[in-house]
Amino acid sequence: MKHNILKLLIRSFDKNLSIDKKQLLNKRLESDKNLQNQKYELNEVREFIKKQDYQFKPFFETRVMSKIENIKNELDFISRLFLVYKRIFVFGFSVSCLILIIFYLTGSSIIFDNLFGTNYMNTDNLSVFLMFD
Amino acid sequence: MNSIDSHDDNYLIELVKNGNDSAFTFLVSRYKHQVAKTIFGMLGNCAEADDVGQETFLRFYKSINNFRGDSRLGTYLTRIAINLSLNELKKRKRKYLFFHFDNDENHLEIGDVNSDFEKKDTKEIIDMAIKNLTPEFRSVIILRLVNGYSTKEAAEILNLPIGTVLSRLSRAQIKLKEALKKLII
Repeated sequence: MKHNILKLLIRSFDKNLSIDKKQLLNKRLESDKNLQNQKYELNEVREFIKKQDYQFKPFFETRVMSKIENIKNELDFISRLFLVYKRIFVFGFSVSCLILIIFYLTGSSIIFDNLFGTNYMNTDNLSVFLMFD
Repeated sequence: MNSIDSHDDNYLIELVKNGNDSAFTFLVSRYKHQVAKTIFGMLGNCAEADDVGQETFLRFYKSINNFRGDSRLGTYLTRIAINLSLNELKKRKRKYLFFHFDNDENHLEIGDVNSDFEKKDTKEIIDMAIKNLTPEFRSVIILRLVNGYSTKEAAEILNLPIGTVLSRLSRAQIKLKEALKKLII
């Protein structure tokens, strides 16, 4: 019972008790000196904790904004790099297509052998050709 | 006072979404104190607290386009700050387990607070008493008493049932009362 009333007392700080529970607590508080002390002590503890104040070091906003700026710069660098790679890829692809077209126009074919000239080669001489001998 | 600073959060958020970074500076300025209370309360006065604070705002900046305003900005930032602080505490614990450093996390007894009572000021004693609570108890105390959130808001931030928050608050207050006995006249 004693434990329950203490529990009720602590709860009363953080929760709206029902009318009958509130009445029970108030009644006990009127008569129980120990419970009054408990309430006083809990109130004191809560006040001590509530007064705790914490601050970041000065220029916190500047530090946050410079971090954001760094991240934006990194993202900017990555996107620029991506753009450069994209351009290189497009250029390379265009050149490849152009070469294929030229080969097609000159040899009337874009088969692999035609591209490297191996279709004109005798297969007996292939090993010699590959070893550049 | 700058005119932009007088606007409400939603207006400033819209400005940030449209590329106005100075509006974000005002948001940081507006909520840094609240975030500091959460982080310092959770981690204590340490070098990492400032980094975690910066990371809190950075996370918000990155996800600003997803912020729909369902909860208040203060609550949203506190939720990020609490989660990052809990991650930091886990990291510390892992480091402690791995290197066996004499970390001050979760191993001091209540008696330690009172042992060198005369040498410390009230703030330090209270900080130490809070620090001696396990992170689960500490988080409810910080949100409810230091940040001043209601029990319901604290439960939402921690994603816990209200009953669990109330029970943790009760137990944490009993521990704190014991630890701070000498401060109560």
